[in-house]
Amino acid sequence: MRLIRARVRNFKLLEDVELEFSTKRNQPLTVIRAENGSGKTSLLYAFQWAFHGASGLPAMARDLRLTSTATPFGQATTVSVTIEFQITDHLGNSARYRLIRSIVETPTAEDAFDRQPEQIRLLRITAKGEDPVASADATIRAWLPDELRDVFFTDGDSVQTFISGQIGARQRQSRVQDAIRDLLGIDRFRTAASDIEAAYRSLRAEAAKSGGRNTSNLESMLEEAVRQIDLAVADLAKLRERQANMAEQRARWDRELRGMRGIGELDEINSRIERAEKERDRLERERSAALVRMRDSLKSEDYSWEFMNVKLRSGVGVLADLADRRIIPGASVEVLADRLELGECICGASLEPRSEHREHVERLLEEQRGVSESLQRLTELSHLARRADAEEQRRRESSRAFPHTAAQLRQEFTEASDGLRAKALELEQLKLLRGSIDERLVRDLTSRIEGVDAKIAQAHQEIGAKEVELELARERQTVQEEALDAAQKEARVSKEVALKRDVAQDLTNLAADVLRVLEGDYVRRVSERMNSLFMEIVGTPDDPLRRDFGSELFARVHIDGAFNICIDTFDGRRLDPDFELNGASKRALTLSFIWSLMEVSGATAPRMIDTPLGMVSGGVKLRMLDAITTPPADTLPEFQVILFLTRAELRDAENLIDGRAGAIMTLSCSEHYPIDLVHSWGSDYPVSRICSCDHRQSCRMCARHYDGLHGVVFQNTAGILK
Amino acid sequence: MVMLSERRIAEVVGERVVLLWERGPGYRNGLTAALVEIVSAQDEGFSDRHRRERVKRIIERLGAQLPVQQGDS
Repeated sequence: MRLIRARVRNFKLLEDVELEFSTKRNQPLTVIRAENGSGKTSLLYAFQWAFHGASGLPAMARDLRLTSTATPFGQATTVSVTIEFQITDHLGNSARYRLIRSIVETPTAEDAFDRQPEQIRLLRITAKGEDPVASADATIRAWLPDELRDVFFTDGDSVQTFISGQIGARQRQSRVQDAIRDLLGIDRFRTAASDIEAAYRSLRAEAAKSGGRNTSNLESMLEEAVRQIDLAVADLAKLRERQANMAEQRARWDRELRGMRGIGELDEINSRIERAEKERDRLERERSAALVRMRDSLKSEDYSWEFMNVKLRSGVGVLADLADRRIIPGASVEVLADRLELGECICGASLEPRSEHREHVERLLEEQRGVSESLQRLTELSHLARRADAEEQRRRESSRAFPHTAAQLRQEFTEASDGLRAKALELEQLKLLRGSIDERLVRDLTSRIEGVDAKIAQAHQEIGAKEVELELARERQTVQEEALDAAQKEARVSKEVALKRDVAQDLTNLAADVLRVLEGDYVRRVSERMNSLFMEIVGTPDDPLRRDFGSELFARVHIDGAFNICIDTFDGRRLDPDFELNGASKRALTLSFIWSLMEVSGATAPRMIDTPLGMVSGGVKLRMLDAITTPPADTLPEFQVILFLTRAELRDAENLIDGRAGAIMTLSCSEHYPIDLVHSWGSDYPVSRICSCDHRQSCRMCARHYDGLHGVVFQNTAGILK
Repeated sequence: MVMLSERRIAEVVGERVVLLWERGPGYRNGLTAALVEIVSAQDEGFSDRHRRERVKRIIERLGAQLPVQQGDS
């Protein structure tokens, strides 16, 4: 943090005071010249209040009014402090801020007042304007921790009592330790290390929990599955190749067989011959049966009827002629009588009573009774012939007729005979064909083909089995790939967690390592630098001014392991800072400690000290001023020193101030007229104001009666700032 | 931070991370930045739980970058 300017309004007697700070690296010092009672302490408090609020004020000042005691009761007054400063991060990026803390206070009685809540605003100044910063108090605390306000904003008395005074050894030790721990960030680091350690434990537990399956076993199983698949694929290829070779061989044999036979299979020929012979036998039997039936038909009644048919027709014709000529009725009386009695004519007609046919028969009966015996015979013959003719007619009309049967038998016989001839021819051709084949070779080839067919079938079965095996292996592969994939994902997650755990472990080790460095190396560096500065201030043993201390005994100052600041003498004693150090030594030691601590820590906070050189004079004063205002080396961060100095403190140090101070102002109080101030300000109430007079000059506002004693020259050109 | 400045932290850490040389400069720089960030975050006044969650996130972020950084030495 580098202070740029500040404005204090209505804070105690500081009605409206503006300050400009030196921001030059080679002139880190800003001097505010002010005599006792001019408002130095108020100004210091104003800065403490601005940065830390009421808690930043010394305990005794917290309950006192912030406004001037001259403010009338009942008059609400706004107290405000505005500080503009610059923050530069470790990358060298700078940003300007404006801090404004204000409060409205209304005095109600001599020591009583009403206060409204404090208001704080932190603005980041950019090219476009001012951006409010959230959490202003927290941000300020990060830059200037509350607990170190006594280090940054202090006074000579506090500096003197920092390591001694009216505090116990434990409290003093704690104060030193706190300063070291805060400025070196040891506590911060310790908390960070604890947080990292917690994260490490958490990640370690997480990593142990996730564990991650060992994928090597799954990978081996998958490799085995793939190997089995490869083997199965190779076996399958071999089987298929073998099957193809066998099929090719079979085709060759088959072609040879077919080529040799020319027309077909031997077995088929044999089979056809066998079938033809059976058919021939069947036809033979059919023809024989037909012949037998033909013979039988010649012995049959039908044949007799057919044979006598001509004679019968001839006789029927003759008898019909005899009947036409009435030579006969060939019926006898008895017959006619019987017919009449039966009611049916021999021709089959009905002889019902009173029917015409009956009457005709009755007449015939009468006629017949007078015919001769010959005629009787002829008549009987005629009747017999007519019945035979009717029978022959019925037979002819039925399927039993001989011609029909004879035609059928002839057809059957003819068909069987034709079939026999055809079969005989077919058999002859087949036997001729069979006779042309080399039956031994055929049998051999056929046997080979049958053999290879069996092998092909076996190979087909083996291929099927191998394909099933391959499919199962591929299923196993899929399952194992999925399992491996899941395990690898798990392992990947586990690996990531393990990686984070390792990072956390590295960070844990690193934080612990850095902590050891800070508590060891850095404290040692502070100790050594403090010794160097202290010795520089108190002077070398041969320095005559060393006697100013009356302590030529100082051999070494250092910080021990318990954070005690120790002062060792050449005669081997360790001095008690409370009782064995004078005021100048105490201030020198405290400033050496603070400066070395800030230098080693690289802290860039301004150091504002009120009356640091009181009780110090001569060479010690010069060396002390020199030590705390020496511009930083190029390797060290820049810093600011704001010293509130009286004319007495400035005396004899003018030349040093000339070189180190980049800004000098003078603060005065109207109350000092006429006793100390030469000129009246014409103010009706006490007020402190600041002018631009440096340590060598004065003006109408700051000129004091004893300025001559300090070599201060009145210059009317110097002016009032505020 | 005004106290032991971030630059000084980086210096201190930088001296120590030499021990982690085998991880490469990317990792060392990442580790340094992470530690600075973690230490700087201590000033923000958050609860222990919040701070530790934040630390874990920083570590996870660094861990996620690690495989890339391992090869840049």
